[in-house]
Amino acid sequence: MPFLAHPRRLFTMSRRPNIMGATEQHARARLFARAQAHPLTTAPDLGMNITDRRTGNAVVLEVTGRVDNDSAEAFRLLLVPFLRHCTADENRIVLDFSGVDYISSVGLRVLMLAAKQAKTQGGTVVVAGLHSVVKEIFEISRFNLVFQCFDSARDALAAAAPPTLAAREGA
Amino acid sequence: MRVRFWGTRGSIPVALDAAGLHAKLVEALLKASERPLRSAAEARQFIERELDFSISHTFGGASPCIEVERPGAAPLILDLGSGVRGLGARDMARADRPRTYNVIMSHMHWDHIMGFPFFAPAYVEGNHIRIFGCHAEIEHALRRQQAAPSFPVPFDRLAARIEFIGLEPGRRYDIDGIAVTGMLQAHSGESYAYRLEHGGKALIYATDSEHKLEDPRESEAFAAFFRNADMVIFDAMYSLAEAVSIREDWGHSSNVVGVELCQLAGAKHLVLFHHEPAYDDAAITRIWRDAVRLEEITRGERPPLRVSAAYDGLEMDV
Repeated sequence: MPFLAHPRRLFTMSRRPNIMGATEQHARARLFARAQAHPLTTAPDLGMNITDRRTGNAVVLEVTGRVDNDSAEAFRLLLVPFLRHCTADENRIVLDFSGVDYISSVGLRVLMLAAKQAKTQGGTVVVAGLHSVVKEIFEISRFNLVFQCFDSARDALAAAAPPTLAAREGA
Repeated sequence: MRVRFWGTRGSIPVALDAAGLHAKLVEALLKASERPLRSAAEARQFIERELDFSISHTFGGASPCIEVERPGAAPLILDLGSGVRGLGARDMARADRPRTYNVIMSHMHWDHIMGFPFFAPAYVEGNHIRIFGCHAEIEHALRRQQAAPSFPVPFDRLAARIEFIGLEPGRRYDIDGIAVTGMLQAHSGESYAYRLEHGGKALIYATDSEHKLEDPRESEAFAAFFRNADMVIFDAMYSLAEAVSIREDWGHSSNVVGVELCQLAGAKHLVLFHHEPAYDDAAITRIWRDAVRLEEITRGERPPLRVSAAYDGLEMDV
């Protein structure tokens, strides 16, 4: 049995202009409510996808697309179930951002809140795979100073839980 | 409108100290040693063209005060931080008196009012000072800071005629030919942003404001207030990481949010303001360069947004 579970697509939302219109707001609220009730629901595409795979006591969340003002709330909601069980012993979260093209201040704030919650529970949230624009945004916002950033999810897993990596390599 | 920055530092005035000046001199001399400088003109040219701003200048350390100047009109002053002392000294050296001043107050925190007891024109009979603002306690705060035992000259001894005129946020007022609209901002004790419009140009003064980033409607409201502004003077005191973590609820914002809001609003020029007193010139320069770079890498199809960092003595036309 392969060590890595098959990736699951958790959420997809479409990018729409004029997100602040009243109708849009209501549509978005319904979308989020549905996502919370049924995490595997596929919704219209907002330009951001997340898939998860478990590796031992860690979970790697592969994020792709843009984590911007439109998708940040969906991103926050998606993290909720993983954060709930993120402790010192299990469900350490590695956010694989190698597929992220852009993250806004609102998206960065979601990351900060996630890290704070994990810390209070004894858990950790790290990011990995930052490149080009997103890497620069982390540096400009100084998030690189408050977040553990790894070159790849593999490096993050190795640093966080060496036995897990060994298990993965032996799979 | 000509905008002149008399004070750009937040929280408390600071000064370049001996060690800071010494470090600048060392860097400048090392750089100058690479070539002969035979005249004062060549030295000046070298300073202007080849030295980094953080070596050849200083951002200064006076607390917030900005003058908006128009030919033939009374000066419009934004906040009465320690920078207003220099403005008053300039006018005392001029012959044309009496004078009228229009002042707009963002809020009443110490750094924004502390210059008024040292604003010499307030002591001159015949001068007329009109103080506008949305904040409910402008008069109380200005009187209190001159009360014993904090200051030797009580407010009532000021010889100039001083008027207080309250404004309502969201209403458009005509102040000596400039259309002024206020907007409430998130800051301890309340602060207000102002949109100033004159001659088809719009200037935004938005300091001491925290953008919480949790409600998209808040960002949209500010973007609407900043819409198509020619210049946005913006509180960029902290890094974004600080503003959403250890300094959350401290009432200030970041260069990152400044760039994003201006992009959302279609503003033309962002001016970073209310610099952190703990930052030296090199640190403020880095924040400015970071903002310039952020604008470049996130511009997309938008027209370029000009990004500047305010310093004491900077003058720009809007």
